Amino acid sequence: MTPPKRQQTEEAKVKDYMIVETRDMMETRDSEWTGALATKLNQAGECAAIFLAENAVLAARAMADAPMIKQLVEDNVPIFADTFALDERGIASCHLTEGVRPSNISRIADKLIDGSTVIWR
Amino acid sequence: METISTLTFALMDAPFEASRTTTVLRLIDSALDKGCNINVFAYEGAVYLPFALQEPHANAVHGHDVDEEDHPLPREWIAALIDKAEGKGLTLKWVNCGLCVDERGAHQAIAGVERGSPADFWKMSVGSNNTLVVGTN
Repeated sequence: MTPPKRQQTEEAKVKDYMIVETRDMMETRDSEWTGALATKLNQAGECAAIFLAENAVLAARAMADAPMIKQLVEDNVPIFADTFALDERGIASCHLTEGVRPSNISRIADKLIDGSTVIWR
Repeated sequence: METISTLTFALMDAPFEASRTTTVLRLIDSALDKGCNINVFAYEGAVYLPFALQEPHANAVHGHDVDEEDHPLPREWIAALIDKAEGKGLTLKWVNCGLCVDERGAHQAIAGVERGSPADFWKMSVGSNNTLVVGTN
Protein backbone atom coordinates (compact mmCIF):
# COMPACT_ATOMS: atom_id res chain seq x y z
CA MET A 1 0.00 0.00 0.00
CA THR A 2 1.32 3.44 -0.90
CA PRO A 3 1.45 5.77 2.13
CA PRO A 4 -0.44 9.04 1.85
CA LYS A 5 1.50 11.83 0.20
CA ARG A 6 1.61 13.90 3.41
CA GLN A 7 3.43 11.10 5.21
CA GLN A 8 5.92 10.63 2.40
CA THR A 9 6.74 14.34 2.50
CA GLU A 10 7.30 14.28 6.26
CA GLU A 11 9.51 11.22 6.03
CA ALA A 12 11.62 12.86 3.37
CA LYS A 13 12.44 15.67 5.81
CA VAL A 14 13.46 13.40 8.69
CA LYS A 15 17.17 13.66 9.35
CA ASP A 16 17.26 13.26 13.11
CA TYR A 17 17.31 9.90 14.80
CA MET A 18 17.00 8.95 18.43
CA ILE A 19 17.83 5.34 19.20
CA VAL A 20 16.53 4.22 22.57
CA GLU A 21 18.58 1.32 23.91
CA THR A 22 17.05 -0.41 26.91
CA ARG A 23 19.12 -3.59 27.20
CA ASP A 24 22.18 -4.33 29.28
CA MET A 25 25.08 -4.38 26.83
CA MET A 26 26.84 -7.01 28.90
CA GLU A 27 23.96 -9.40 28.28
CA THR A 28 22.87 -8.47 24.78
CA ARG A 29 25.52 -8.54 22.08
CA ASP A 30 22.92 -7.28 19.65
CA SER A 31 23.12 -3.90 21.37
CA GLU A 32 26.33 -3.35 19.39
CA TRP A 33 24.04 -2.83 16.42
CA THR A 34 22.69 0.26 18.19
CA GLY A 35 26.10 1.84 18.33
CA ALA A 36 26.95 0.80 14.77
CA LEU A 37 23.71 2.28 13.44
CA ALA A 38 24.22 5.61 15.21
CA THR A 39 27.81 5.84 14.01
CA LYS A 40 26.95 4.99 10.42
CA LEU A 41 24.06 7.44 10.35
CA ASN A 42 26.28 10.24 11.59
CA GLN A 43 28.99 9.31 9.10
CA ALA A 44 26.32 9.50 6.38
CA GLY A 45 25.52 13.07 7.35
CA GLU A 46 22.44 12.34 9.44
CA CYS A 47 22.09 13.30 13.10
CA ALA A 48 21.74 10.29 15.38
CA ALA A 49 21.80 10.18 19.16
CA ILE A 50 21.44 7.35 21.65
CA PHE A 51 19.24 7.42 24.72
CA LEU A 52 20.11 4.77 27.30
CA ALA A 53 17.19 3.60 29.44
CA GLU A 54 16.51 0.76 31.86
CA ASN A 55 19.46 -1.66 32.16
CA ALA A 56 21.29 -0.03 29.26
CA VAL A 57 22.48 2.68 31.65
CA LEU A 58 24.69 0.12 33.41
CA ALA A 59 27.18 0.36 30.53
CA ALA A 60 27.36 4.12 30.96
CA ARG A 61 29.25 3.85 34.25
CA ALA A 62 32.81 5.06 33.93
CA MET A 63 34.05 1.85 35.56
CA ALA A 64 32.07 -0.43 33.25
CA ASP A 65 33.97 -2.47 30.68
CA ALA A 66 31.95 -1.01 27.81
CA PRO A 67 34.27 -0.06 24.96
CA MET A 68 31.34 0.67 22.67
CA ILE A 69 30.18 3.58 24.83
CA LYS A 70 33.67 5.05 24.95
CA GLN A 71 34.03 4.63 21.19
CA LEU A 72 30.69 6.35 20.58
CA VAL A 73 31.81 9.28 22.73
CA GLU A 74 35.04 9.46 20.73
CA ASP A 75 32.98 9.41 17.55
CA ASN A 76 30.93 12.36 18.87
CA VAL A 77 27.68 10.41 18.98
CA PRO A 78 25.49 12.16 21.57
CA ILE A 79 24.63 9.74 24.39
CA PHE A 80 22.04 10.40 27.05
CA ALA A 81 21.22 8.31 30.13
CA ASP A 82 17.75 8.27 31.65
CA THR A 83 17.97 9.87 35.10
CA PHE A 84 15.10 7.67 36.35
CA ALA A 85 17.01 4.52 35.37
CA LEU A 86 20.21 5.90 36.89
CA ASP A 87 18.46 6.66 40.18
CA GLU A 88 16.83 3.21 40.28
CA ARG A 89 20.24 1.58 39.91
CA GLY A 90 22.09 3.85 42.30
CA ILE A 91 24.30 5.36 39.62
CA ALA A 92 25.30 8.94 40.36
CA SER A 93 25.78 11.31 37.45
CA CYS A 94 29.37 11.90 38.53
CA HIS A 95 30.09 8.21 37.95
CA LEU A 96 29.09 8.25 34.29
CA THR A 97 31.56 7.86 31.46
CA GLU A 98 32.74 11.29 30.40
CA GLY A 99 30.58 12.44 27.52
CA VAL A 100 27.43 10.61 28.62
CA ARG A 101 24.83 13.13 29.71
CA PRO A 102 22.04 12.44 32.21
CA SER A 103 18.67 13.30 30.74
CA ASN A 104 14.97 13.21 31.49
CA ILE A 105 12.77 10.98 29.36
CA SER A 106 11.12 14.15 28.08
CA ARG A 107 14.01 14.34 25.62
CA ILE A 108 12.43 11.42 23.74
CA ALA A 109 9.04 13.16 23.78
CA ASP A 110 10.69 16.26 22.31
CA LYS A 111 12.20 14.18 19.54
CA LEU A 112 8.86 12.60 18.72
CA ILE A 113 7.20 16.00 18.66
CA ASP A 114 9.80 17.52 16.35
CA GLY A 115 9.34 14.67 13.89
CA SER A 116 12.56 12.78 14.50
CA THR A 117 12.68 9.07 13.90
CA VAL A 118 12.75 7.28 17.23
CA ILE A 119 13.82 3.65 17.26
CA TRP A 120 13.20 1.51 20.34
CA ARG A 121 15.56 -1.34 21.09
CA MET B 1 -2.39 29.41 17.58
CA GLU B 2 -0.06 26.60 18.58
CA THR B 3 -0.67 23.28 16.85
CA ILE B 4 -1.26 20.32 19.12
CA SER B 5 0.88 17.32 18.22
CA THR B 6 -0.57 13.85 18.17
CA LEU B 7 1.69 10.92 18.91
CA THR B 8 0.90 7.25 18.38
CA PHE B 9 2.47 4.41 20.32
CA ALA B 10 2.28 0.68 19.66
CA LEU B 11 2.92 -1.54 22.68
CA MET B 12 3.32 -5.30 22.79
CA ASP B 13 4.55 -6.27 26.25
CA ALA B 14 2.27 -7.91 28.79
CA PRO B 15 2.06 -6.28 32.23
CA PHE B 16 4.32 -7.25 35.14
CA GLU B 17 7.02 -8.63 32.84
CA ALA B 18 9.17 -5.86 31.40
CA SER B 19 10.44 -2.44 32.39
CA ARG B 20 9.35 -1.21 28.99
CA THR B 21 5.78 -0.82 30.26
CA THR B 22 6.87 1.63 32.93
CA THR B 23 9.27 3.44 30.62
CA VAL B 24 6.72 3.92 27.85
CA LEU B 25 3.99 5.06 30.23
CA ARG B 26 6.49 7.59 31.65
CA LEU B 27 7.14 8.76 28.10
CA ILE B 28 3.40 9.13 27.44
CA ASP B 29 3.07 11.08 30.69
CA SER B 30 5.83 13.41 29.53
CA ALA B 31 4.17 13.87 26.13
CA LEU B 32 0.92 14.82 27.88
CA ASP B 33 2.84 17.39 29.90
CA LYS B 34 3.99 18.83 26.58
CA GLY B 35 0.40 19.11 25.38
CA CYS B 36 0.23 16.16 22.99
CA ASN B 37 -2.79 14.07 22.13
CA ILE B 38 -1.93 10.40 22.46
CA ASN B 39 -2.99 7.25 20.64
CA VAL B 40 -2.01 3.84 21.95
CA PHE B 41 -2.44 0.60 20.07
CA ALA B 42 -2.00 -2.35 22.41
CA TYR B 43 -1.04 -5.53 20.62
CA GLU B 44 -0.50 -9.09 21.82
CA GLY B 45 0.14 -9.26 25.59
CA ALA B 46 -0.18 -5.50 25.97
CA VAL B 47 -3.98 -5.86 25.83
CA TYR B 48 -3.70 -6.98 29.45
CA LEU B 49 -2.20 -3.64 30.50
CA PRO B 50 -5.65 -2.04 31.04
CA PHE B 51 -7.26 -5.31 32.24
CA ALA B 52 -9.86 -4.26 34.78
CA LEU B 53 -9.49 -7.29 37.08
CA GLN B 54 -5.86 -6.66 38.06
CA GLU B 55 -5.70 -6.75 41.86
CA PRO B 56 -3.03 -5.62 44.30
CA HIS B 57 -1.66 -8.18 46.72
CA ALA B 58 0.08 -8.38 50.06
CA ASN B 59 3.74 -9.39 50.22
CA ALA B 60 4.73 -11.73 53.02
CA VAL B 61 8.43 -11.41 52.17
CA HIS B 62 8.20 -7.67 52.75
CA GLY B 63 5.97 -8.20 55.79
CA HIS B 64 3.39 -5.94 54.18
CA ASP B 65 -0.35 -6.29 54.03
CA VAL B 66 -2.11 -5.30 50.83
CA ASP B 67 -2.32 -1.61 51.77
CA GLU B 68 1.27 -1.38 52.97
CA GLU B 69 2.57 -3.13 49.86
CA ASP B 70 0.66 -0.71 47.60
CA HIS B 71 1.38 -2.95 44.64
CA PRO B 72 1.44 -0.93 41.41
CA LEU B 73 -1.13 -1.85 38.79
CA PRO B 74 -0.81 -0.88 35.13
CA ARG B 75 -4.58 -0.42 34.84
CA GLU B 76 -4.37 2.33 37.46
CA TRP B 77 -1.46 4.03 35.67
CA ILE B 78 -3.39 3.97 32.40
CA ALA B 79 -6.56 5.28 34.06
CA ALA B 80 -4.49 8.08 35.59
CA LEU B 81 -3.03 8.98 32.19
CA ILE B 82 -6.51 9.03 30.62
CA ASP B 83 -7.70 11.29 33.45
CA LYS B 84 -4.64 13.50 33.06
CA ALA B 85 -5.32 13.91 29.34
CA GLU B 86 -8.93 14.82 29.99
CA GLY B 87 -7.90 17.30 32.66
CA LYS B 88 -5.66 19.04 30.15
CA GLY B 89 -8.28 19.07 27.42
CA LEU B 90 -6.31 16.47 25.48
CA THR B 91 -7.22 12.97 24.34
CA LEU B 92 -5.65 9.65 25.15
CA LYS B 93 -7.18 7.07 22.86
CA TRP B 94 -6.33 3.51 23.87
CA VAL B 95 -7.21 0.75 21.40
CA ASN B 96 -6.78 -2.91 22.27
CA CYS B 97 -6.25 -5.34 19.39
CA GLY B 98 -9.51 -7.29 19.27
CA LEU B 99 -8.03 -10.59 18.14
CA CYS B 100 -5.42 -10.38 20.90
CA VAL B 101 -8.18 -9.71 23.41
CA ASP B 102 -10.20 -12.70 22.22
CA GLU B 103 -7.18 -15.02 22.31
CA ARG B 104 -6.48 -14.06 25.89
CA GLY B 105 -9.99 -13.56 27.20
CA ALA B 106 -8.97 -10.04 28.16
CA HIS B 107 -12.36 -8.49 27.49
CA GLN B 108 -12.77 -6.71 30.81
CA ALA B 109 -10.86 -3.50 30.30
CA ILE B 110 -11.06 -0.25 32.23
CA ALA B 111 -13.29 2.58 31.03
CA GLY B 112 -12.02 4.40 27.98
CA VAL B 113 -10.39 1.41 26.31
CA GLU B 114 -11.65 0.64 22.81
CA ARG B 115 -11.50 -2.48 20.69
CA GLY B 116 -9.90 -2.31 17.27
CA SER B 117 -7.57 -3.94 14.78
CA PRO B 118 -4.14 -3.30 13.28
CA ALA B 119 -5.98 -1.24 10.67
CA ASP B 120 -6.81 1.22 13.45
CA PHE B 121 -3.13 1.44 14.28
CA TRP B 122 -2.42 2.34 10.67
CA LYS B 123 -5.14 5.01 10.72
CA MET B 124 -3.90 6.44 14.01
CA SER B 125 -0.35 6.51 12.68
CA VAL B 126 -1.32 8.27 9.46
CA GLY B 127 -3.22 10.86 11.48
CA SER B 128 -0.33 11.50 13.87
CA ASN B 129 2.75 13.68 13.80
CA ASN B 130 4.89 10.73 14.79
CA THR B 131 4.68 7.07 15.75
CA LEU B 132 6.79 4.95 18.05
CA VAL B 133 6.65 1.16 17.97
CA VAL B 134 7.87 -0.50 21.15
CA GLY B 135 8.25 -4.16 20.35
CA THR B 136 9.12 -7.03 22.62
CA ASN B 137 12.79 -7.97 22.76
